[in-house]
Amino acid sequence: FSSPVVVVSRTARRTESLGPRRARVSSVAMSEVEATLQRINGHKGVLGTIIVNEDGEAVRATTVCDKNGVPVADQNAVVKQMADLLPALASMARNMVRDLDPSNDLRFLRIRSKDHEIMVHADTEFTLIVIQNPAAAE
Amino acid sequence: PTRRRAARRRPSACRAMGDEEAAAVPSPGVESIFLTGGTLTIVGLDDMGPGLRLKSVSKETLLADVQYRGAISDFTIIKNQIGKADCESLWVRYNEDDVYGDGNNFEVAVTKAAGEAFEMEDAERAVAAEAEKAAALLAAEEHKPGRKKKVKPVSKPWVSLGSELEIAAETLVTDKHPRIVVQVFRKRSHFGTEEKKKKLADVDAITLWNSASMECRPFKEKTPSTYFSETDCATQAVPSICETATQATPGVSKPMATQYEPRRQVLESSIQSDDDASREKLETSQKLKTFLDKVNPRMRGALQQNELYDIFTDDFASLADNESGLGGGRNGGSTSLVEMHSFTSLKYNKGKAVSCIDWAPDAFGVVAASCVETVSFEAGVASGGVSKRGAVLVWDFEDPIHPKFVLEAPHDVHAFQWNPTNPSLVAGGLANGQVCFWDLADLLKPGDKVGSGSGSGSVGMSSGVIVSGTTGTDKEKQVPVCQPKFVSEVQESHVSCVTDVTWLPPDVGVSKPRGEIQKVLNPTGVTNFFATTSADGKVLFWDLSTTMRKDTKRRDFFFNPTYKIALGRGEQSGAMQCVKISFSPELRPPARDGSVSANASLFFATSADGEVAQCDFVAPGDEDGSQAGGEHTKLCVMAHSEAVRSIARSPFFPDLVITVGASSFKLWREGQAFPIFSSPQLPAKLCGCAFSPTRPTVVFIAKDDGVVETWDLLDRSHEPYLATRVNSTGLGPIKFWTPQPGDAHFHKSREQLLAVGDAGGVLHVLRTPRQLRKPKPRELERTEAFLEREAQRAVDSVERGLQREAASASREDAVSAASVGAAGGEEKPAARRGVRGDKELSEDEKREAEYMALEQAFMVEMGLREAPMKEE
Repeated sequence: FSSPVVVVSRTARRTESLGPRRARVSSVAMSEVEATLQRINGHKGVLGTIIVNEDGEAVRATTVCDKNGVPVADQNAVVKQMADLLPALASMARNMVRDLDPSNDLRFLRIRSKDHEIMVHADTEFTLIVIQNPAAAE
Repeated sequence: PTRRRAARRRPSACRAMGDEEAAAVPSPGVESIFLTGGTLTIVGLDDMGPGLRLKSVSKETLLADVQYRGAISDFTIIKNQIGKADCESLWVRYNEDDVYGDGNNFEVAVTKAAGEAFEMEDAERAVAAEAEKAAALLAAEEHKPGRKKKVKPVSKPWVSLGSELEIAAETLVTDKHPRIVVQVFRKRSHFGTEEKKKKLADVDAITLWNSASMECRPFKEKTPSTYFSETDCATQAVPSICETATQATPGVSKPMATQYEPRRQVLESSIQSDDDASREKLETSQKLKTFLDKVNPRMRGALQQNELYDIFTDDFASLADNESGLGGGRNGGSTSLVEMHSFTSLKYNKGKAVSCIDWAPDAFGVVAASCVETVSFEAGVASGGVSKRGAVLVWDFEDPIHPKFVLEAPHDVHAFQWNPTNPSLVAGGLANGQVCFWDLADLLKPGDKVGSGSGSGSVGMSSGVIVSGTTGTDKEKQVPVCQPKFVSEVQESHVSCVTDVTWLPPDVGVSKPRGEIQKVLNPTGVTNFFATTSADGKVLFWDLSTTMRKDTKRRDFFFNPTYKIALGRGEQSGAMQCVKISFSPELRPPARDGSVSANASLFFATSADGEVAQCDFVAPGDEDGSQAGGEHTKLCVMAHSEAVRSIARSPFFPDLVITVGASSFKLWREGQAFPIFSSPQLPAKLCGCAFSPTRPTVVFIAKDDGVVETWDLLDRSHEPYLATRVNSTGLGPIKFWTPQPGDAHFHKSREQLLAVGDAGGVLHVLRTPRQLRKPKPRELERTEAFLEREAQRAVDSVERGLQREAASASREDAVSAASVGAAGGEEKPAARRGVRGDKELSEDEKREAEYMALEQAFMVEMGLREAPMKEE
């Protein structure tokens, strides 16, 4: 579930090769990204968090668990599936909303299924996917 | 002159001194005389006394004295001896103790020898006196205080205490035989030859020991002369203990550390790698950061929403139920079964009783009932077997007067059932044992379902369907009538009327010859098999799929059973007259690997004699497939006193059934020979039973007095929870509407409908109140616990019954043994009792008989009676 924040030591080394200012920013950015992800993932009942970039590749993914909290056996496959399917669905939903009213835009997409709820926040560049088990959350 | 007389001692005292000279005779040369003091003075012996015992006096003195004094001198007596003395001086001894016993106090030695003897004695006496003095000095010294007294061993004379005998016994060397003394002589010169003369010398025996020149060698005695008569020996048991030690060397300690990284998928391109970072990648992470910053609050808001509140909960469903005690005011019938509809047809059902009810599957409000003639046996015999046509009426809620369809049959239909997967097929069993089969597909317009539309007078003119005669005007509704599509062969069917028809679960097939559950190649989910049973004890399995292929155009109406079994009654002989059967819910098509669950082929069967049996339709045992196989009935229990009219299976506990017969109902579990729960005897006879489909603990019972009782087993198990009067004549079978989840009208299942048939041919439909529908919290668990408890109690009571039987049997044996012994004692009272002729208990009679036999034997022995004689 919530994995500790690990500051990759590579960033530390990075400080030497890059310019000092830039390196600091990048390392700070990296750690903040990680921290934010961990905060999201640490919510009660969250089974997994995936960030997908516009090419459809999963940029960040935490360990995805099934509804009981057991990590899924084939992590890569699940993440890949989510990364393939959900941005497409989000874009379709956006299209539908804009068709109804061009000034409108899709902000947030929540899919409540029997087992869990999938929350998708789609942007032009990235897509954030969070899977939560609401029963565990209550 | 005073005569100094020595004290006269008693002569005994003198002799006791042990003096050698006990004899009072002076030795030769010694004269004993008495000298007076004067004489002593004259002679010069007056210093003689105990201190000076011996003195010598010259002879002349004495003779002078004698001469001078003449006769008065004491020496005159021994004048002669003195004269004859051979020595010049004579010794004179003081004779203190009167040795000679003549009273004289002096002795005179007149010879030299005697004188010497006197001197010797005197010397001895002096030595003795000195020894005495030394001893006295020693004694005086010892008597001084402060010194240990040394007890000087006093030598006492030895007193024999009998030890001589012991010593004599142990002495080996005795003086019994004279000692042999051997002396060996040899001249010394003869030792050795001339050359070497032996020099005799002494050698120690120890140097000679075990050497060649040992002279006397030790030898072993043949017989031991001594032997142990007693030895002391001791043993000590010492526990064998050994101490061992091992040293467990702990493993080599090594420092260990693990470090882990969380497993996260990170796209390689988004992490800056060691080689030169491109601006792109940097910007990627920057973009990611901004994106996340933007998204984060919204996402967290959504997550929190989920955490806080579940928007999909149904508040009303989770609302707690009130107990029914307070309610009842608002809706009149909220606590009792409300009759919604009742259906009867004057044309078909007059004077008949409902024998079987079934709800049409996949339809709402369509229920069918079959009615049979209720004639007594005599009337039936009188009518002579003329068969009357029977019918199954299919009713719809919308029209209470006219049935939707009528399924006619050549004889009374006693049992029927809709095919659960194909709602246009109905199988039925007739009163003469035949089985028939209706297909409603011909009757309905294509595309219509059974539940759709009202029963309009559309009549299909396909073959095999005979249009019913229009009895009334065209204005009247015409009820579609359907004839059976297939009828079974009379020879292959049952012999007596069919009592139960049950469809098997979908995709289950029963194969010949052993009745194993068939594997269906293409499972279509269609129910194809049904089973029928009748009072002749046979269960027949019919296959629909082969039948449907028959061509009705060729008038091939008849079909045959696929598989037959005959049910026995367990230990009793004879066929079981089955009334109802109930298959196990585990009857399923075989799994992919061909395995079938063990209990799949078990089913319950009830009989008209009140037995409940658990049977197996797979033929047991035989490999050679002989028809006369083993016994199908696994367990047969006598349950009720009359016919068991109905059996129902609980929807919550697949192995729990309820049977209804005579005046009570019982709950059974598969595999047990005694009921878990038996109700108390009810005042009326019971006809039908059903489990509530939603509440595990509620049971509905239909009685002969027209009352439907609801029993809540957890609430009260000695009386019904609710009793609803339906009619006054008596009821028949009852059945719940149990829509399956796949049905179209499943949403209406909030209403629970109970169809009750009565003895007058009327079909009632009742609605159960809400509290009989809604299960109470944790009711399933409580019912399970209740059943467990009851099962244990039943087991326990059976065991206790056996124990009590054994105890009473042993008690009876004891009583009979005692009575035999007591019979001899009662003679006259027994005889008197016999004479009086009272009504006696059998025990008394027994005793009487024994007494009479005894008396007879006695009399015969005594000779008072001849052997066989009449008794008085």
